[in-house]
Amino acid sequence: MRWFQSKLKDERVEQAKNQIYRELFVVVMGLCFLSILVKQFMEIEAYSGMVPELTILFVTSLYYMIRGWQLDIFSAEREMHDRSSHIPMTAKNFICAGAGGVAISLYFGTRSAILYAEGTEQSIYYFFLVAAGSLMIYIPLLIGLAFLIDVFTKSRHAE
Amino acid sequence: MKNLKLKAARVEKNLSQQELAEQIGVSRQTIGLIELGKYNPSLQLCLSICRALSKTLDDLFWEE
Repeated sequence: MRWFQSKLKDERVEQAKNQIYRELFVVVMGLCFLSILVKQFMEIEAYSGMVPELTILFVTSLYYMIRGWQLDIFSAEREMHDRSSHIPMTAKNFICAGAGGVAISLYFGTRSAILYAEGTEQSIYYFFLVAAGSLMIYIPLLIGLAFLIDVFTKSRHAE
Repeated sequence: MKNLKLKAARVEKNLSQQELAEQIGVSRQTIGLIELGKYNPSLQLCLSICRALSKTLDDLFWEE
């Protein structure tokens, strides 16, 4: 668990994060309960596959972003991080976004090669075709998202 | 309620919020919120602030 421990910790930020996690528990419970109700009483064709999991991921992430912004923990975390790290948090976020884009592209490329191709030659062709297409989509998308998050988390600090 | 004693002690020591925050290992925002009375620091943090500003707990955090 050493990966999750930063060198310096601001007790206010830790308290605020714990408060958000407590609230998130209730949000996730509510979403699961709602999902059960939807599955029990309604037969919605679109509400199948990974939709419930994606809903939980999206809603909880959005909730964390909004509450974190309200409690002003992002700018404080950035300040604490930049104080002790050689690489600024903004740069780290952009690097992670780029790496995430590459990882997603490789995943989709591999998935296409395994599921849809017939033979080695077609597998290689599908892999590079889908991976290149995904790279063109996901790297700008994730870097753009990282930029938006950066602006969003900086805005309150500027106030 | 604003903690004017803390602000006065910090100014007396010629420290900015940022400098004090760096000395005691918290963010500048936290110092700002303590001075504004919007955050109740732990005893540990109060002691760190007192040590950094060469004051006692009574000097900085005791309300008459």
